[in-house]
This record gives sequence, structure tokens and C-alpha cells, in this order.
Amino acid sequence: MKFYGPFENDEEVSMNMTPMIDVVFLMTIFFLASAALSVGGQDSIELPTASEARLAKRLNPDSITINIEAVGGGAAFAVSGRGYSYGELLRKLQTMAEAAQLLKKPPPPIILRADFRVPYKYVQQLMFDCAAMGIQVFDFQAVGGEEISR
Amino acid sequence: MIDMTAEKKLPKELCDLPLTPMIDVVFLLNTFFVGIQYRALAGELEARLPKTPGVVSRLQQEDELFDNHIWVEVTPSGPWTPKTVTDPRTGRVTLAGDMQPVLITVNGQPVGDFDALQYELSSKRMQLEAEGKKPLVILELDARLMFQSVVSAVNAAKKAKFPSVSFTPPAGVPKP
Repeated sequence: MKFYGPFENDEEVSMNMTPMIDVVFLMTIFFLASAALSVGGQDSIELPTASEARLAKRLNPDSITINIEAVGGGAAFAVSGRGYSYGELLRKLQTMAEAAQLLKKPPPPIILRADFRVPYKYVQQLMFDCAAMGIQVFDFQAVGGEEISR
Repeated sequence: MIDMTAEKKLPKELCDLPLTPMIDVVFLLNTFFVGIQYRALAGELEARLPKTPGVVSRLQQEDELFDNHIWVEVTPSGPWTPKTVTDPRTGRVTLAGDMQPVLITVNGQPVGDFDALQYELSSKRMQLEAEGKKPLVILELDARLMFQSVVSAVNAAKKAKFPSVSFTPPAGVPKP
């Protein structure tokens, strides 16, 4: 009786690396994209509507997204998923503005993701405290623009 | 005699399920749909602040130091509780029914609503540009407004082709 082992023929055994690299890269892109896009998306902020809201032409890596949630009649601040008191938030922004100044870069632009129910007094105070630090450019995030509500 | 190699003699195409292209396509589709979903949340409206808080103030407008300024004032005109509706498909909450009732004035003259504000700003812009001036919209917004009304005011300025707007400081900030 003759038994044939699995590797007794003359074919060379080799692992096909190309599809493996394909899949690994795709998985990396998928996880990177989903992680980046999910920042700030797990809160209960409902953005205001604005027909002129447009997609940012390119993301500024230095920009800071401040989430402002309506809590009762007040507001709760968060950056990158971490909650801050108003004083802590200002200290963080001050540090970032000073760092930009040391590096001779323009102050970081602010992207405000505020709930449509947030009283303006909180946003106004934040904007003017930022202006005192030299941060003058704000983007208000909104939904409903023609380009983005297909 | 028993053929011990029977299993090996199965046609190769019956044994091999090509998983790699399937995983490729599944991840590509996932990335595409995740991207599409979040694309709907990324709109932005730009606003700029004066360099120093309080530099732009009503006093300057009254003194006519800046005759290119268009002064927009928005104040709530009465009590209001927002009514919302939740989209059962996306879970998104949006305003239902009326917006916050507001009183809007442009250079002291009342206008009806945000659509009328856009029309007024547009005509003022054309008028100032015809005089060779660079118009600037300054928003004096009441602290009691909901953020939606603020965005609506900025939106009206954008629709009237103003690339950016300025805001007055909060009450209590010293003015020059």
C-alpha cells in the first residue's frame, strides 16, 4: 500500500502574499477611517440647519473641534470625546494658542459643533474669550446644505 | 484495494472558495457607506471675530467711522420652547414647527424674517459695492437666542454673498 503525503509532489510550497497585503491594507484603511469619522459622533448633539453649509475643502490638522451639548438650560463642553469645564477648556485653548505662537504658526481655527438648542450666551462668551487669545476664525457646523444633504 | 488518495482527487475548483476578493469588497463597501453617512454631517459656515474684543461696537457705527458696516441686530421677541421631531430612520432630531420668534433689524430698520434679512443684506451689499466700498456685516445677537437663530443669521449673510461676518462682544465686555 502506498500513501501519499501532502507535500510529496514536486510543486513548490509558497504563501501568496499579495491578497494578504491587500486585505491588511484595506482593514487598516477601514479602521483608520471609521476611527477618524467617529470622533464626536457618539454624543447627543443635534446640529443646526443652514442651507449654505458647505463641506470643508480640506481638513486643517491644527483645527480644534469643540462640541457643545445642550444640557438643561446650559451647555456642556467636550473636545475629542473628553468633557471639560469652561475654565479647563479655556486653559487648554490658551496652551494651544501659545504653542502655535511659539512655533510662529497662526492660531488654531475652531470648529464649533454646537447643538441647535444651546443658548447663544455660552457660544458668544467662548468666541470672545478665544478672540482675546488671538483665535479669530470659527467654523459653525451645520446640516442641510445642498451639497451635503443629497 | 482502498484508494487512500480519493480525497485529494476532488477537483480543485470545488474546494477553493476565493475569500480574498470577497473580504476586499466587503471592506470597501463598509468604508464607502461609513464615509457616505458621515459626509452628511460635515457642513461648515465660517465666521470671523474682530481682532480685539470690543473693537467693533455700536458707538463706532453711530459715529459713522465705518460707513461700510451693515449692522444686524437679532433679539428674541417672546418666550419659545423648541418642538423637535426625530427621524425614525436616522435617529436625527430636527426642529419641527416654528423657529424661535425673533426681531431682526438692519441698520435700525426692522425686517420680517431671515429670508427678508438675506434680501436686505444683498441689496445693501450691491449698493455699497457700487459706491466702491467693501461691505462688512456685523451681527449683534442677543445672548438669549438659541444657537439655531445665530446660524440662521450667519446663513442669511452667506446667502447674500458675504464671505464672512463679525460679531459684537457679549454684554459686559468693555467697549472703546
